[in-house]
Amino acid sequence: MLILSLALRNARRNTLRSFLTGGMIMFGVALLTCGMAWTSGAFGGILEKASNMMGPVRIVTPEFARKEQLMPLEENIEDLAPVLAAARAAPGVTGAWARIQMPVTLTVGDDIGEHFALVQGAPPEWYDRALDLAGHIQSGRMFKVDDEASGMCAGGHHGRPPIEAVVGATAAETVGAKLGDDLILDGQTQDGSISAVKVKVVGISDLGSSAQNKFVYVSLATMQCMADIPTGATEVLIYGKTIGDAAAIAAALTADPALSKLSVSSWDGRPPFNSLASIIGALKSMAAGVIVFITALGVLNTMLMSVMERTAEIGVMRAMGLGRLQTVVLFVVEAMGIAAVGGLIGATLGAVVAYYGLEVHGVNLGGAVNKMPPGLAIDAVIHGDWEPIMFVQCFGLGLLMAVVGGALPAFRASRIEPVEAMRARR
Amino acid sequence: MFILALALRNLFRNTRRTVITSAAVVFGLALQVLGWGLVDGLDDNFLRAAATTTTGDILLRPPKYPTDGLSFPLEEASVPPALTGFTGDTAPRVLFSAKVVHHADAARALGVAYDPDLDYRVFPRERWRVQGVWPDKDQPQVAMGDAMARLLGVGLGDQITIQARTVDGAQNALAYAVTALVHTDNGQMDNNAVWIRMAAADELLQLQGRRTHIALHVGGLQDSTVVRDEIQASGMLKAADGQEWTAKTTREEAADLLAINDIRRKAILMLVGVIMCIAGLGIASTVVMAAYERVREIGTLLALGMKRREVGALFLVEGALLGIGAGIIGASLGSAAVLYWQVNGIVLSPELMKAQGSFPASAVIYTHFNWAPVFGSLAFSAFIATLASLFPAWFAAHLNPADAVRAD
Amino acid sequence: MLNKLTVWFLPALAALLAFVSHAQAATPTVADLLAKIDANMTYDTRESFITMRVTKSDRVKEYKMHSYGRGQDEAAIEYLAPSRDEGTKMLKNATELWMWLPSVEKTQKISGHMLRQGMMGSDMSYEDMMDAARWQTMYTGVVSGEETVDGRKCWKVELTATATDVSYPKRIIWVDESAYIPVKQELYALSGTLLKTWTMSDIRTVGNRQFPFKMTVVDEVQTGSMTELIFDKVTFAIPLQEEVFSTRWLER
Repeated sequence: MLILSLALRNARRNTLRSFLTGGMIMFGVALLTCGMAWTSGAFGGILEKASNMMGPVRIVTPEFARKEQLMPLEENIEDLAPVLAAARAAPGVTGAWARIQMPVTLTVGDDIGEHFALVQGAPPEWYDRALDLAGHIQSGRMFKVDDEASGMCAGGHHGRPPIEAVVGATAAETVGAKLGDDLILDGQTQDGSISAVKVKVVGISDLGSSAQNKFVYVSLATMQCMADIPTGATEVLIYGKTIGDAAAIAAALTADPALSKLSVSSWDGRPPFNSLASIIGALKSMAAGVIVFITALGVLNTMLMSVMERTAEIGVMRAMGLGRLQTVVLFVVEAMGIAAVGGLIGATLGAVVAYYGLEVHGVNLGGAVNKMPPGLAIDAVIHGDWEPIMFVQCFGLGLLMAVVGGALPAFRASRIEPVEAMRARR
Repeated sequence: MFILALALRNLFRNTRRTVITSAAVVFGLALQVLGWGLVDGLDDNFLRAAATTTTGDILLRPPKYPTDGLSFPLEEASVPPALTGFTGDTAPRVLFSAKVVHHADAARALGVAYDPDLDYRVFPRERWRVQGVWPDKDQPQVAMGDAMARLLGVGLGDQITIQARTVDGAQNALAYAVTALVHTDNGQMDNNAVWIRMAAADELLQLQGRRTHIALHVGGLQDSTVVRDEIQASGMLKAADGQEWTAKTTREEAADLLAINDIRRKAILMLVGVIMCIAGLGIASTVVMAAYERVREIGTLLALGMKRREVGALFLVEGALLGIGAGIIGASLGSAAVLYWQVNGIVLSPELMKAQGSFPASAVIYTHFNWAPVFGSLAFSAFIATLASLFPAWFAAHLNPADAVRAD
Repeated sequence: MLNKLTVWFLPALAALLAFVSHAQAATPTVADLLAKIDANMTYDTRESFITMRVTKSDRVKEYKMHSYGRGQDEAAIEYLAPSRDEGTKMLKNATELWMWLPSVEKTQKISGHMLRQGMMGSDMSYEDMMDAARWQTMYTGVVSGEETVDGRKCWKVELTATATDVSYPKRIIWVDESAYIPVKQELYALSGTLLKTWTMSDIRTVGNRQFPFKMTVVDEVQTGSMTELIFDKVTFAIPLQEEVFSTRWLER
């Protein structure tokens, strides 16, 4: 305990030096917090966005999963009610919705065109959660669902309101459809019968890339009618708060006897993410490791110089009987003490910046390096993702840095012969 | 100049201190250059996947052939240009829509007719995983994408029938044995493609020498865009029948995919920025400590008649020199790594090679070297080092010599 | 060109042959045979009620249709069942195929890639429908012998396409010698692979002609795929309004 008090006294004795070291650690920890929050958010954000589209957790029939490539409408979940109920009852689930995707030919004029597009049919809540479609309307508005009309697939006639659709910018441009136009979607029912629906283009959307803008969005009821799957759908997509919850939800649903005949899968088990997830995990760890290393170098530097400066002092202490090991411990404890204070402040500062600056406000990376034509410029606001556990992690890392950064100089210090030390004046 | 010399000498006087401070800068800068290299390489990775399976470095098509990559109208097949004077590798191909039937199951497929002598030069097969052997000459055999084979329940040696239309529109169908199951990493191919030798395709489609695609490989470190422009200007693309084929680089073909990369690139850039800030901090603290440590030296200098301003300048220059010197070393190291990995690639773990999906990402990451990031980060490190030295320089310059000498 | 032959050369030939055939059962020429088939199968006007049964492996689906036909080229079809498809109409003339769906209430022309798809998912493609009566302009052939099909004595005719863009480069048809109905047709790919088999059966006498009340199309490449057309009721020479074979009928 002598050592502890000695260490503390030493620390306070030379405030500037302690201040510098502590400052180094403080900034390091703060930046580490921000860095971690940033990597987590940025990568996570990208993954989140992509997995939202395909459903963090998905329920389909096993045959559908097997033939997914062909988009087999006939492999559908015939009765949605029990499946949706089971899905929504699982812990951690914030939403579960059905969806039908179908390839169609788009026609504006008389000739059935050669323009293909993929139609998505899902309830408006899904569009909010998965795509924030309403927030990406370039012109017009989000479609309204009129079940009466959609249920008949024949909107716009005999007093029924027209069936509404939102069309992706690229699809609209390719086929020459403008706001207010009637668009005919020519597709097939699950049996292969011809099926067509006339929709009114009430909105044109821009989700950021021309690949994403080749979709046409309608309500689930419209698709159910068009595909002739009256009470069912091909997919049920399930969401938790974040994609991190997917694994647990998938596990819970797989065990649910009500869903035993269906195939439940989490996003990272399906292509393309089954391989990407681990790459991103590795990148995240690497990023954190790099930041820690560089900060540790800085700390090391500071500590080294501090030791060098105090050679004489060390000599005196050694002469007075301080053992080698005790010398090391002394310095390390001193470093940890400084790191504790600096780290605490740093972690707090970092948390504040990471949370308010990065997570809540986000960083707007729109536009600058962009190869797309002006109309399709990417406007991406990327959010950091700060978790309370990062506070503990970064604080701990700060201490670690102090120990690592202080140990080497401490060892060097302990090797100095007392006589030598006292003789030197530096 | 005196100050410069003095600064240099000071730096070398306490090598250990200099080395440690530099270490932070060197490492930080190397990482920055590497980071840029990785990010630029990200694009290349996407492109590489496409280039090594479907497009080559430059893709030539008949004038009326759609360039969206979604439709494959065989009726637009045309006599290919001779490409005399082109020194790279060429691989003519015919892509066509077909129906593959295996007993009661049928699926739409993308037929890929290839020239066995030329194809592998533009589309190297070393990294593909092939079960079985490639179709034999003069035998009714095909290779199939492994995912497609799984879908249809086709195994090695099974017979399938390929139904397609000839160039003129007549129906044709022939039976083939599947001798190879191919995994290229490119989901579009693995899920849809059936490879057939050009001679066999000629029979099936009545090609009469007509082709739909020619993929070019430029090789070495040449820029595809430059080569493409040269080819177009030279008139090499005119075929015997007077038609001029179109030429697109892989980058242009993959514009959609690259757009998604932009976001990633920026995210990584932010990270790199964070790293540089930390490195800057390291420099700053070092310079301050140095100043503090050399208090007596400062006092001596002042006593010898050096002005405070000059002392401050001395420290500033020291900091700047450190930043630049270490920066150059770091940038060189980083560049060396980038250049090495640009040619050889970083091989990701073997497990990843097993679990691949329909996303054209490669299990080998290539970096891409550019001069811009090197100069940019050098400038940045010099700037940070100088900035970091400002405070300590001021601090040093305003030290009271008497206190300085007295302190210990 | 063969058409022109049909128009004025053939009646003469037919008369000659009719005289001759009573004397001996001589092998007819292809042109003669084709002409006779046409004469038998072409009607000024006809009305039919048809059941179409589409089988794909284990799935069977039935459609009910009401159709009008005129001459070789014109046909108007309305779907009556199942309720999902009720009201869907199709109109065909010599060169074009149109479709009208109640949900869309708009006439759409079927062309391009869509022509090659099966009608309502059946084994009969729209293109097949369009080409059905076009043999004479598209093929040349030879009568290669006599065979018995389904208990009927038939002439075997081997047809080869005269142009490279004909959908089925080769066909073999077995023509019933007395009824002049192609009771069996084999449709071949360029390589000689058998793609589809059309059979016409349940031949009954209606008025002074014979008419097959059942047609079957079997996909010979993909097993388990078959389409049957069963004529529930056929009436000939009924008076039809001109507008039935126009797009106005579609929109009605």
